[in-house]
Amino acid sequence: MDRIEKIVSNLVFFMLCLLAMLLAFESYVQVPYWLQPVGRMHPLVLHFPIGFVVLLVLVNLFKNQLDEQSYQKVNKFLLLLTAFTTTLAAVMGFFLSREEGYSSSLMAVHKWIGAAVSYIMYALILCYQNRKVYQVLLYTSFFSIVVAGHFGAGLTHGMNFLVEPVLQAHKPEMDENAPVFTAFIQPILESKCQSCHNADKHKGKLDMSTLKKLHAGGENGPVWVAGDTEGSEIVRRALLPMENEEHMPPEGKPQLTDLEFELIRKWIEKGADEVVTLAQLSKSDTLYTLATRTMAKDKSKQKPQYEFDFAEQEVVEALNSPFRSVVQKSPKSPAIDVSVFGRKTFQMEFLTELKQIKDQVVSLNLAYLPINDDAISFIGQLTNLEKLNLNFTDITGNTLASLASCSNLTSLSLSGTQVGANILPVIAGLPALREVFIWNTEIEEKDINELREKMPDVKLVEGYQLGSEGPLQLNPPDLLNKKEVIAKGEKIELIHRLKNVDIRYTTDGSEPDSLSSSTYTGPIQFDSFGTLKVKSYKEGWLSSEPRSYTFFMKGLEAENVELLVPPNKKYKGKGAITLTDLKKGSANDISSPNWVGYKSTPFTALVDFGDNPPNVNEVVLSYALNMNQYVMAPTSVEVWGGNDKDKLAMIKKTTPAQATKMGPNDVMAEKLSVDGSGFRYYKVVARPILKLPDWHRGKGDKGWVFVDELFFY
Amino acid sequence: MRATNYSFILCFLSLALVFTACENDNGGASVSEQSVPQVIDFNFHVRPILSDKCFTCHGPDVNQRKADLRLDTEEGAFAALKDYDNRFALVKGKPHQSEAYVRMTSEDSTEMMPPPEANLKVSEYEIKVIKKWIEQGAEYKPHWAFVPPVKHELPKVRDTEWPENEIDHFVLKKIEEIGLSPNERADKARLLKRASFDLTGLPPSLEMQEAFMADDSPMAYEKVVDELLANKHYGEKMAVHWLDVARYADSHGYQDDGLRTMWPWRDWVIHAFNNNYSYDKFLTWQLAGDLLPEKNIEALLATGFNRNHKITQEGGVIDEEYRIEYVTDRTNTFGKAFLGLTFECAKCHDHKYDPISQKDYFSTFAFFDKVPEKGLVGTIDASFADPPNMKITDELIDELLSFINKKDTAAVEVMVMQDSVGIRETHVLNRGNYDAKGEIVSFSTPDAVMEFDTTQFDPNRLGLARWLLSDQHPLTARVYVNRLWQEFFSRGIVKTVGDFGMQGDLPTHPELLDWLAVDFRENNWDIKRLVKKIVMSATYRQSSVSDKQKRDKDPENLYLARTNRTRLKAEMVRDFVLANSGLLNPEIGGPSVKPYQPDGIWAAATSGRGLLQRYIQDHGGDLYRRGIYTFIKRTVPPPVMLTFDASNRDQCEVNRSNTSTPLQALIMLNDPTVLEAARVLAERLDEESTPDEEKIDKAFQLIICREARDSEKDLLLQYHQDQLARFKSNPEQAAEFIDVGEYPEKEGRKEVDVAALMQVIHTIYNMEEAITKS
Amino acid sequence: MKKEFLEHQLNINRRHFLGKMALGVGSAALGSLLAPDIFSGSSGSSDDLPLGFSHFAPKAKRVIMLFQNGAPSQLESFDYKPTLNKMFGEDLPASVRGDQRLTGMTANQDKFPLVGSKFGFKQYGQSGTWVSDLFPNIAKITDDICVVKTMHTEAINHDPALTFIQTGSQQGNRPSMGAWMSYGLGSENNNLPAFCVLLSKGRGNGQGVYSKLWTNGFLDSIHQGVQFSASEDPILYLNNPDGIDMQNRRKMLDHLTELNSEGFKEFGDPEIHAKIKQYEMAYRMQTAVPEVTDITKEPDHIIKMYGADCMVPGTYASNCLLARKLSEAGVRFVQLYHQGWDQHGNLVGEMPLQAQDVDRASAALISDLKQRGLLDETLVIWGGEFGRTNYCQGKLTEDNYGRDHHPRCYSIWMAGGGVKGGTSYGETDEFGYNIVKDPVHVHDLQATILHLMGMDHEKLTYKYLGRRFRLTDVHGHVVKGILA
Repeated sequence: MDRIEKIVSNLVFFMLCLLAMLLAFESYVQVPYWLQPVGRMHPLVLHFPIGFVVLLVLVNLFKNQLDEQSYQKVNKFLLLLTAFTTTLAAVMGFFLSREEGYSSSLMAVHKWIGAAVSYIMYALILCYQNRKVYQVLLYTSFFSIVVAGHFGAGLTHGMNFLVEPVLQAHKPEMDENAPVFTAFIQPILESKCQSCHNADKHKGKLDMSTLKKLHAGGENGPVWVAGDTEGSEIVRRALLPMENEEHMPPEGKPQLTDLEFELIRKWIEKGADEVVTLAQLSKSDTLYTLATRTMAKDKSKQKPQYEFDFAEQEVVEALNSPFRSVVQKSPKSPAIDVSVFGRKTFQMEFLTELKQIKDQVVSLNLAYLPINDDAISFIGQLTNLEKLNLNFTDITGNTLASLASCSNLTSLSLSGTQVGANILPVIAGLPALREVFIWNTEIEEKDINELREKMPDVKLVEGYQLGSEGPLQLNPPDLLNKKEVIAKGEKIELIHRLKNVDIRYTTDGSEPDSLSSSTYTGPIQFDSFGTLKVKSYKEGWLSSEPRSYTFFMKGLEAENVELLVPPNKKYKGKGAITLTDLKKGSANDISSPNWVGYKSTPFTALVDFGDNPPNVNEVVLSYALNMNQYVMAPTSVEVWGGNDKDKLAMIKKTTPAQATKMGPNDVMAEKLSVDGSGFRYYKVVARPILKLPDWHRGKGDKGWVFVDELFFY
Repeated sequence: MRATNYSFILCFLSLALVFTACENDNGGASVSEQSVPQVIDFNFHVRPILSDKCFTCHGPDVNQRKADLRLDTEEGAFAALKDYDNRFALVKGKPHQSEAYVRMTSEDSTEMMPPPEANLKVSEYEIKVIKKWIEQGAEYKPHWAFVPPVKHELPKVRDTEWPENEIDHFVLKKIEEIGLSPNERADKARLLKRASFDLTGLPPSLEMQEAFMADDSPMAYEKVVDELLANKHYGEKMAVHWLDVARYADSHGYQDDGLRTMWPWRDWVIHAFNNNYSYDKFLTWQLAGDLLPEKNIEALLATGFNRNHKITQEGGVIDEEYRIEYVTDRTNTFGKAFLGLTFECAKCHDHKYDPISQKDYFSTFAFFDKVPEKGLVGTIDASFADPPNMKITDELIDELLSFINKKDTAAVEVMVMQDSVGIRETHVLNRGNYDAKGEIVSFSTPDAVMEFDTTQFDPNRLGLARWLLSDQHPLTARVYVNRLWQEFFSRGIVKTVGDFGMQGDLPTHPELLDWLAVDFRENNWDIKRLVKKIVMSATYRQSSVSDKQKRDKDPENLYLARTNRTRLKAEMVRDFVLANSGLLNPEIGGPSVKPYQPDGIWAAATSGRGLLQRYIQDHGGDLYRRGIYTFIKRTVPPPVMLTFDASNRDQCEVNRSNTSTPLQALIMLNDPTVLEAARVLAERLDEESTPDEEKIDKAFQLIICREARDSEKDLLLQYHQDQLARFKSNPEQAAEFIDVGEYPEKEGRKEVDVAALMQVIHTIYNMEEAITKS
Repeated sequence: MKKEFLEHQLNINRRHFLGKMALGVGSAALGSLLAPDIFSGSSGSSDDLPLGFSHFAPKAKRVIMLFQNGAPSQLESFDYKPTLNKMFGEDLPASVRGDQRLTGMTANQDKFPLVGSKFGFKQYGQSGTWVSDLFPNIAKITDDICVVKTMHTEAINHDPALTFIQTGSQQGNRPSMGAWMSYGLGSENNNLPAFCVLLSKGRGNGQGVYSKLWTNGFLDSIHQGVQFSASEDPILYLNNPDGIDMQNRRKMLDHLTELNSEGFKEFGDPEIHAKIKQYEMAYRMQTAVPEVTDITKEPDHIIKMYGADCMVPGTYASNCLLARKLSEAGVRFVQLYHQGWDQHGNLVGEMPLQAQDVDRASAALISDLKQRGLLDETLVIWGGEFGRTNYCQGKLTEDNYGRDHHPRCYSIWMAGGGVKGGTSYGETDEFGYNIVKDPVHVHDLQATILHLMGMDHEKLTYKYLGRRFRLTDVHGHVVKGILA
C-alpha cells in the first residue's frame, strides 16, 4: 500500500510540476503530433475524476456506516485514484487545448479551474490527516469540478447546452397569438440593429436590447413615435439614401429588407402597440398581410429546392472530360447540368457513364450528337431531369415513351429531329412539361393544333416559318482571284456561297440582266484590262445589287522606271517601283504605299524599255477616285515617246471625263492607244485638277491625282 | 524524498521533449503555412495579414476608415475604441481582451471581422499568428522595404565547398535550414544553353557549343560568360525587359492608333546596355536627361522614356483630360519602375495599404506636370512625334548618335521631355478627376519612403533622380536588383516585383536582397558586374532536376535548391527558331519590321483611317529580324507575341505571366515562321553528304543544344523513315509541305528528302525542352 | 510515381485555386484549359472563392453580346421623343443641359438646335414597345426583349467609353467582361475557347476596335478573347500546313509525346505534362472548331432568317449565325462588334444602312435561339458605348443632321436568360437628354450580367499587385427591375 501510495503521489507531483511549467510557458508550447492522441483522450479520462470525487464525497458522508479500517483503506485508495486521474485529465486537457479551435475565454476558465482542481487534489493527499482542512478542500474540489465540467461541456456542446431546451421555449414563435412586436418586430431589431445598439456597445447612446431601454431612446431621442411614422427616427433614417451619414443601418451593414421596413412602418403607424397579436388584427389589415407574408417567407426558407443528395465531388470531377461538362448548379445546389459535345468524337459511354449521378442530373444537353432511339431508354433513368435538349440528334421519337419516368421534365427540345406525330401521346403523358421545341420536325400542323387543344398550358414552339414575308435580296457574287492584276491566260473565278444561284455578267460595262447577259458557267478569260459587272439571281429571291471589278492584264516589262517629279512626301508610296509592282491600291485607302499622290505638280514617270524595245500599242494608267479626300480624275493624261530621254515628243493626250457630282470611291483606268510605236523611252504625265468644281465641298482648292500602276501592252 | 527528485528530472526531460517539438522558423516566407513560428515577427508574419484583411477599412486611407480605427500605425492600433466604454483593438499580451482578435474569431455575422460583406476571410493559421503575436506583446515594426538596406555578414554555411560567390552563402544557408542540399551542377550543354539565352536571348552556336564542351579548364564557364556579356546581342536581350517597363510601342495606342517613331530611343536603350552604362546614369538620363547641367543630346534622346505612354488622336476629346492622363501614366510608371510601389492606387484617394497619401501622389505628379504638351495635337497621322520632340538628322547621327540605325536620309522625329518652369500649377485632383482641382502642391515624394529634402535635391526631375540614387534610399537599388534577379531565376527574391508595399510578397532571402542592393550601389551601379555575379553563382549553375523530396518540401522552389525550368519569352521563341535555322538577321536597331502575320487582323479592327489601317508585311531580310523589332501596333499587338504572354505595352509592366496554352501549341505547329525555319534548316542539312542519322543528330544539337539520347535518336530516326516512306508515296504532299515561306528555295533540293527531314526538325522544334531553359 | 505526383500537384492546386468546393467545370478545366495555372501555380488570387462554377444557380449559361460600336442614336431607334420633332431647330434649354461637359466637336457650337427623328416610330407587340421604322425585324421580337432606355456612362469619347463598358475601367489594362466570365466559370466545351470575338464592318462612319477590348488584363492569358477571323483560319494558325493531314499530324503528336515523356523522366517537371495536354487540346480544337464554324451546311430557311449576307464571312449577319453556333456549342461568351455607328453628320444617310446591316440578323439570332430552346439559357445584349445628343452637330437642314456623343442616357436591349421580355425599363425626359426614372449605370449593367450568369459581382475578384480587382470596380447594383 505505502509503496503504491508513494509512487502514485510522486507521479501526481511530477505531473503537477509538468502542468505548472506547461501553463507558465503556454504560448511557446507546440504539442508534437505524437502527443495529440494523448490530449484527445481528455474527454474520455475526465469522467473518472468526476465519478471518483462524487464517490469520495459519498464515502465521506457515510463513513460512520463503515468501520474505520476499511474506510481508511477505501478512502485513501479512492483519493489517490482521484488525484491521479484528475491531474492526468488536466495535463491531457492542456494538450488538447493547444489544438485548433479551442481558443475562447470559455476555454481559459475551464482550463484554470481544471488545473486548480488537480492541485487541490494533491493538497487533499498532503493534509489528509487534518480532518477539518480535508473536509473543506474536498467540497471545494467537488464544486469546482462540477463547474469545470459544466464549462467543459459548454466547450464541446455549446455553452447553453444544458439550458438550451428551456431557452428554446422562450424564443418568440411566429404565430397568431404572439404579440406582433415580439414575434415580428423584435427579431428584426435583433438582427439588424442590436449589433451596435446593445447592452455593452451603445452607439449614439442607444441600447435596443430590451423594451425598457428602447423606450429610453438614444441621444437623438426616442426610436419611434407611436402613430407618427415620419416623426419616428427609425423610419426617417431607414429612408435616407445610403450615402447619407445618418442612414440606418449604416452602409456595409445588413440593411432592412423592404418587407421588414414596411412591417416596422405599418406597426408604428398602427400605434406601435406592443401587445396586440396577429390574431387580433383584421385580415384586411396591411400589417396583417405583411406579417403573414413574413411567416410564409420564414416557412419557405426551411424547405430545400431539391430532395436528393449532393453527388460525390470525385465522381463529378471524374465525369468531366474534354467532351462532356458536368457542372453542379452552385455550391448550395446538388442539381447538376450536363452537356456533351462533338459529333465526330461521341461514344455511347459519354451518356451511359452518367448512371453514377442519375439522381442529380436536372439538365441534359445532347444536341447534334449521333444518338438514336436506343439512347432514350437510358435517359429515362434520369428521373429528376427537368430540361432535355435532343436538337438535331438522330432520334425518330419511337422510343420517346421511355421518358415517362421523368416526371419533372419541364422543357424538351426536339428541333431538327425526325420526330413526328408519334411523340404526341408521350408529350401528353409528361405531367410537368411546360415547353416543347418542335421547330423543323416532321410533326404536322393539324397534330400540333390538336395537341394545343389537349394541353393548353404547354408551349409548343414551332419557330421561324418560311414564307412569312416577301422575298429577300441576294448578295452579289464574290471574286475568288486575290489579285486584280492577272497574268496572260489567267482566268477569273466567281463564286456565290448560296446553292444554285444564277450568276450573270457583262464585260462592256453595262448593267447585267437575267435575259441578255451571259451566265457564269466557269472561269472567264480577259485579253486586256477591263471591267467585269456581275449580278446574282435565284428562285424566290430578289436579284442582287450589281458589283463591278476592274481587271488589269500584266503588260510588257520595262527595264527601269523613274519618277521625274517627286510625289507629295506624305504619299510617296514605295517610289517608282510602285507603278510596276503589280500591286493595286484600294481607292478607300489612298494612304497605302500602293499609291503615289500628286497635288499641284503633275505626275510624271519615265519608263525605259532598254536597247531593244518591244512594240507598244496601248498605255494604261490606273488612278484613284476618292472625291471626299479631294482625289479626282486627272485633267489630262499625256504619253511622250522617243529613244533619247531628253528629246521626247508627245504622241498621245487624253482628257478623262471629270465627275459632275460626288460619286463612290473607285479605281479608274485611262487607256491611251499609241499604235505599235517601238520607242525605248515613254514618259507618262497626269495633271491634277487645280480648281475643284463648285459642287465639291472644297470648291476652288487644289485636287489630287493618285496613281498605282502603269501598264504597257 | 528521493523519488520526488526523480520526478523533477523526469518532468524536465519530458518538458524538453515537448519543446523540441516547436517548429523554428526565422523570417522569410515560410515553406508550409501550417506551422506557426515560435517568435512572431511583425513584418514577416503579422503585417501581411493585417494589410490584406484589415487595412482596406482600418488603414492609411482616412476617407475609407471605419470606426476611426487604424491598424497600420502603432498609435492607432492601441488607442481606445470609439463607441465603447473601455475596449481596445489590441491589448499587449491579452488576445481575449483585444477586440481585433475577438472579432476575428467571432461567429456572429454582425460582430465578425472582416465583415461578411467584405468577402474576406482570415484563415485558422492567420488567427493563430495574430493570437500569438498579441500574446508576445503585439510589437509593431517599420515596413522592411522602407528601411535602407545594409550589407549583412555572409552567413556561415556547413558545406563550404559549394559556394562560388557571396550569393551562394545566403542561398545555401536557407537550403540547409530547411534540411535540403543544393542540386549538382547542371551538365555543361544545358548550362551553356541557359546562360546563352539569359545573356543574349539566343541559342549558342554550334561552334560555341563545341568549343565549350571541349574546354575542360576550370575557367571554361567564366570564359564563355565573358564572351556572352561582350556579345552585341546582350543589349537586345536586356532591352526586352526594359521596353516592357517603358511601355515602348510603335503606335500611339488609343482607338485611332496612328504611327509613332520612338524607335531611335529603343536603339539608345540597346546601346546603353551594350556599353554597360551604369544604372545611375541610365536612370538619370531617362528621367532627366534634358535637365543636366551641360546640354547632352544623347541624354535628351534618353528622356523619350517618359514619352512612351499612349497618346490619343481621337477628334473631339477634351485636351486637359488627356494631358492629365499622360502625366498620370508617367507618375505611375515612375512609381512602379523605380520604387516598385503601386503608386496608381493613390491617385483618386489615399493609398489603401501603403503610406502614400493622395497629396504625396500629386506632389510626385508635379515633377512630370511641367511639360509644354497638349492632350490632343492632331488626329491620326497628324504627327508621328508630338512636341516636345527632337529631330534626328544624318548629321546628328554622324556626330553624336552613331548607334542609331536610320535606314533612309529623311530625318526622324522622336518625342522627348522638356520642362518649362512655371508653365502651370499642379493641383491635387479630387477623386483623380482632371477637372476637380484641389489644393496646390509643390514637388515632393512620399516621406514614408524617404523625405525629399529640398536643401539637398533640386525641385525638378533631376532632383528626383538624385533622390532615387541617394545612399539612404531604401528602394531604388533593391527594386532593380530584384527585377534583374527575376530575369535569371524567373521569380524575384520579392515575388511581387511591382509591389514592395504592405501587400507585396516578402523577400524569400531578405539579407541576400539587401546585400546585392548595397553591393550594386557601392560598385557604382555596374549592371554587367551584377549580371556576371549572378550567372557565376553556384546557385545559378545548379541543374533543374527536381526530386520528390524537393518538390514536397519546396514545391514553388522558393529556396532555390534547384533552378527553375522556364519557357522562353515571346521574342526569344522567335529568335530561337530563326537563329538555329540560320535565318536570323543579326542587324541591330532601326525601325520596327512587319514579319508574317495572317491577313486581315489589322484591317478587321481599323476605323479605316491612317497609315496603319492595313498590315503591309515586309520582305527579304526584314522578315528575319529579332522579335524585339517586331512592329507593335498597340490596338492590335502582334498576335503570336501576345499568345506567348508578351506585354501589350499598354502600361508599364514589370513581369510577364508565363503560361502554356493550346494556342501556343497551334503556333509552334502551324506558324509559317516555324515551318519556314524547319524547311530552311532541312534544306541546309540535306545538302550535306552525311547519313540521315548524322543530319538528325546535328539538327537536334542545333535546336535542343545538347546531344540526343539514344532513345531519342532511335525515335526520331524511325519517325524519319516513316515520313520518308509517306512522302515517297505522296510526292505532291511533300511538295506542298516544303512550299512555305519567302526564303528562296535551295537549287535542286530533293523534295521528298527535304520534306521528311523538315518534318523531323519541325517535331524537334516542338519538343517541350526546345523553348525551355532547363 | 509520375502519376501519384501529378495527383499530388493537382490536389495542392485544387485547394489553392478552387477552395474546398472544387467541382464541375472548374475541375474539368483542371484537365484542360486551366491546366497552365494549375501547374505553374501562378496567381493564387482567388482566396476561397471556388472558380469554375456559379456562386448561385445561374439564369443564363452563355452570353452573346451584339456590340454596336460607335454609339447608335437612341433617338432613331428605341427612345421615341416626339417633342423634339415639334421643337425642330429650337435651342436646347440650358436648364436641361445643366453642367454636361461637351466634346471638342460641339463645345464651341454657339447653338444647340434640337432635332427629332427623321424616321417614324410605332408600337409593337403586347408590350407596345416603341421601335423606329429603321428596325422592322427587331420590332417583331419586342415581346422577347427588354429595352433599357436609361443606360448612362461617364466618358464622352469612344475609346474610354468603349473600354469602360467592356472592362469596367476607362483607362488601364483590366480584363474584359468575357475574360472575367472565362475566369469565373471556365469553359463549358473544353475544345473551344471560352471567349470568342467576331468583328464586322458597317457602312457608316467607322470607329476602330482594339484588342484591349477583349484582353485578359492581369488574368491568365488563357482567358483572353480569341478573335475569329473571316479567313480560312478561323483561329490563329488553326489549320495544318499544306501537305499534312490530321492523320499525319496525329503521328507527329504521338512521337512528340514520347519525346516529352522522356523529358519528364529526367526533370520530373509537371510543366511537361501540361505541355503534352496543351498539344492534345490543340489537336482537338483542330477538329472541333471547323465542325462549329462551317456554315455551309445551314439549311435554306436559316439563311433566309439571317439574310443572304450570312453566307459572306465577316459580315454582321454571318457573325450572328456563327455566334449562335458557337454559343450552341458551349462557348461561354461571344462578343460581336459591328462598326460604323458614329453619326456626327449625315445621320439620315448612314443610319438606315447601319440598321439594314444589323436589324434582320439580330432578330434572327433571337428567334433562332428561341426555336432551339436555347434562348432561356442564353443572354443576348444589343447596344453601344453611349448615346447621341438630341441636338444637331454641325449644320442642321430640313433633310439631314448629325448627332454628337451623349453619355447621360442611351438605349440598349437585352433578351433571353433571366431577362423579363416584352418590357421597357426606365424613362428619359421629353427631350431625351436626362434620365427621370430608373437609371442604369454601366457598372449596374455589368453587375446584372454577372448576376444572370450566377455570379456575385462583389465576389468575383482577382488579387493583383496587392489589390482585389472586380469587373465593377467598387460600384454596381444588380438591376432587379429587368429580371424575369
